[in-house]
Amino acid sequence: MNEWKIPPQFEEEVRESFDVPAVRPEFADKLYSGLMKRADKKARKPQQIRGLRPAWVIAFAVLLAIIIITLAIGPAQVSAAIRQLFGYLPGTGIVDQSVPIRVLAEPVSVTRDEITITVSSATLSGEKTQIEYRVFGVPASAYPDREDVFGCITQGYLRLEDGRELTAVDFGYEAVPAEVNEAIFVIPCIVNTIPGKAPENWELPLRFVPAPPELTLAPVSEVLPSPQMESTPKTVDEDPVKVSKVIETEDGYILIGSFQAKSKPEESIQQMDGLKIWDASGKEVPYTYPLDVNEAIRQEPNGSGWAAQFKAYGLVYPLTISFSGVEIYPAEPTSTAEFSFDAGPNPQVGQVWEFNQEIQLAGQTVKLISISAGSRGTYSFTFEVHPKVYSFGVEIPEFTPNGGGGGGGGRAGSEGLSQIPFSVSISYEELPSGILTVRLSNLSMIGNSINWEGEWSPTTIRTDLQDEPTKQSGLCLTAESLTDLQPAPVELVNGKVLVSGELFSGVWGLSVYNLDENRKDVEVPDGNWGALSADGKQLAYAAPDNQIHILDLDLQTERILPGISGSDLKWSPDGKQIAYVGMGEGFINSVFVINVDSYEVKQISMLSHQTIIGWSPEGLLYFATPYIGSAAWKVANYDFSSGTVQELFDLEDGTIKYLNPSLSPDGKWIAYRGTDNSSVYLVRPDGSDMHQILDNVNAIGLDWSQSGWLAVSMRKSDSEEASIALIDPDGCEAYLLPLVMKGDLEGLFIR
Amino acid sequence: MAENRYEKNNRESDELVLIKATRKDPRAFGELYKLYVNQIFRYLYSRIGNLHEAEDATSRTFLAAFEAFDKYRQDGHFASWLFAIARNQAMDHFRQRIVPTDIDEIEEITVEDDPLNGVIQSEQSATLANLIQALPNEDQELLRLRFLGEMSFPEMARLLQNNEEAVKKKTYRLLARLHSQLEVSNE
Repeated sequence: MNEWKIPPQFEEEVRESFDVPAVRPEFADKLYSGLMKRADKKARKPQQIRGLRPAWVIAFAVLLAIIIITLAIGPAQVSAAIRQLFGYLPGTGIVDQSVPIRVLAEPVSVTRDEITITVSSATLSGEKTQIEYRVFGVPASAYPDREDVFGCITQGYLRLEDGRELTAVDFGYEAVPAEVNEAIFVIPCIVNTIPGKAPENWELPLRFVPAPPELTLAPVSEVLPSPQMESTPKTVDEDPVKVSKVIETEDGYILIGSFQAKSKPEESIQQMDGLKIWDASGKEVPYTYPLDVNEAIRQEPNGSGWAAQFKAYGLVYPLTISFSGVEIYPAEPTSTAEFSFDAGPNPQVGQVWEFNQEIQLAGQTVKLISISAGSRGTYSFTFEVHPKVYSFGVEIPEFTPNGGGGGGGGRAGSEGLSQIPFSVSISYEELPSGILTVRLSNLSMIGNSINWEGEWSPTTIRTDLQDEPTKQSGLCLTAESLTDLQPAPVELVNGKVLVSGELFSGVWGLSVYNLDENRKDVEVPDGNWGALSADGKQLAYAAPDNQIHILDLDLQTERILPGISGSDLKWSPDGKQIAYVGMGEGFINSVFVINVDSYEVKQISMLSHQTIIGWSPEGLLYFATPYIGSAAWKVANYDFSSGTVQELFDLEDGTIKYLNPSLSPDGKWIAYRGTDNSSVYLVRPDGSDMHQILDNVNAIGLDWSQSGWLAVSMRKSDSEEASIALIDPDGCEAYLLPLVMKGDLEGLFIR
Repeated sequence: MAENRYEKNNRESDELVLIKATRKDPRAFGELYKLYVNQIFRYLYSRIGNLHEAEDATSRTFLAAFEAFDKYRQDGHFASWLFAIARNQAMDHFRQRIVPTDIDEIEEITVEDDPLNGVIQSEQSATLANLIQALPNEDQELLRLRFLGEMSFPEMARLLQNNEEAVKKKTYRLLARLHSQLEVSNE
């Protein structure tokens, strides 16, 4: 992927990946109080009592309410009381039930300069205001054309009649007071647009009404320690896996809890895999991570929170909730080793010293590969170590560092330990110079694997849950039914499969598998966005030189389409054109078509961040354009004979992350990935018959055979391996291809 | 998010008023504190990886800033000044723990303490966290300041004593690289 393809939401993902909790209100208030005492002393004035921030007032009020309830009615009744206090609203999270929920009276749209902003829904609780809005029609020219320039980032807010402004909070906006039923939703600018390039200061008048009776809150229960929550005593921990809240959803549960593993003295623990849930019959329970309960997860102690949402059909209780990890133990705590290197009188940034020197430390051989000097006074040391070596300390004893870190060494993964380089960086006020002595110490090793388990069962038997899910019309496969898939018959096991994945350690690229011979025929290191032509003879791909290459798979000859770069390639049925998503001056990820013989390029759309769906037998090119601010896409087609774009319908269930849409060669179905990034949906090219075909199967790669089989690559939950299922979208006949690969399906050709 | 960008834009204009107010009345520092306490804590937590020690460092940062406020002579770039104090507090924390320099203590905090290990994240988020963890410290710092400290590029540039455009470009190139790596890992 090229630098210019950073979706705006990726920044939010980066922020969230740090997984840092918000400051605790108790701590913040205490510190505030301390500062105010100092301020009073400094000002020599009487102390002034200051109010808490509204969010903290709510937090304290809730805490106080729980304490009062506990004191008044006893701990055993707290859970029931909590059920009455709080409810779960999908998409919003856990809310106070005592405040009536309100919703948007009707959708509101405003169009200016062919750009439309629509507020499609709003949900108002006592905690916050959830607003769903979408933007469509922003021309690519309104966005920056350089990756180092970012456009408008000012967020919207709600303005009340009295002038108060309610700004954005976690996944929404501040709560609208109960007595206020109208507000103006103000959008100062469309995200990432350049000032002056798109209309600004949008105002959408919203009206709120009580939620309809069918909008009910799911019960939330607080779990208190009970005989039903037990931990398997496999470690020193008494109770490392806890469930603290249970939400009864329509078809199952959301569990929220904590995981706090404590190591033995002198040892530490490295957690390996994520949460796994098994039922009492030994069946792994597929689950999803509910983003709307983030606030509750953050309330778990020491950032230890977790949550899982799963369906309860057919589960046998108790459920076992498990985490796994390895022990990390010191090898010989007092053992040290030293070596010297001459940094010279004036070491320069970028300077590298090569060594390949073996050093004995705590009974292990550590191989020093190189030392390099970086900016900000940093020396980086690169070692090779035995896979069981976890870490060791590095210091230049005569100099005091001001920061540093590093890692590597052994890594315990699902496939066991694998050796990878070990690097350490240490920063100083300025680079130490001259002959330097480097000391290694505190070598630690990877020890035994550990499993932490907790059990959970519902406290009451729910009569509202069915034993068997009502099968949705058109749903062919679920996570549970995958295990029943039979191998594909021999007549389907032929041709080629194009896979994008890791070719060998650290190198990714494209592979073409020969299904007839069950072997890999072609590898294209660093190739990306591969597409097989309809006859399976040509592979087009985005090469690391930023150009599109075409590889003739029979002749093994390669040519370059001059002057274009792009992604999301799709061959026309006759193999004469390739549709792609490209960029250049004034446009970002817009749809283009190139004639592979004449190299004539045609720009199809001026909108941005589009994705190609495919070519119909009639020669129509289908593509989708994302709405801004909403996980929805608008599907359109381009008629080459008339040169017109026709907008068709909205995809509401498609993921905004990697939709990966694909039109069947007969033009009857569009397949695409669902909002959960795991399921697959189908829709007719006119927007009709939209339905789910695969549910929660970790689907990533999609393509069609010429005879109409939908091929879906599905990642295994506990490894990087994937398998490919072939599904008949009309009859639900389904098979597994006899190919287990590391990577994702990018193309399929079955004769 | 609590520290949304709308707040950040407002923050940069509000703080000028608050700085002047604090010079007249030290109690107005409390409002500056409210503007920044979450960002400072989140930044320090990501550096230190332990809730209580991060809270201690946060306390020391604001107490030091409060006591040194008379020495703060500028009318702008308060965030750069405050984060410089916070960075010093983080370094002091490591200096106390780092002799001898032990990568275990810096990077390999136990599961209970490590913000990147303690929480079960989505697969995407976990992969991204691993990629960030593998970045050089200098690059991690850019992300921390930008996304946990919620600093603007001018503020970051002043703190890092670098050109604003260079900091901006480096940050977005870094994001692009992470995004690319993530796509390769996940898709």
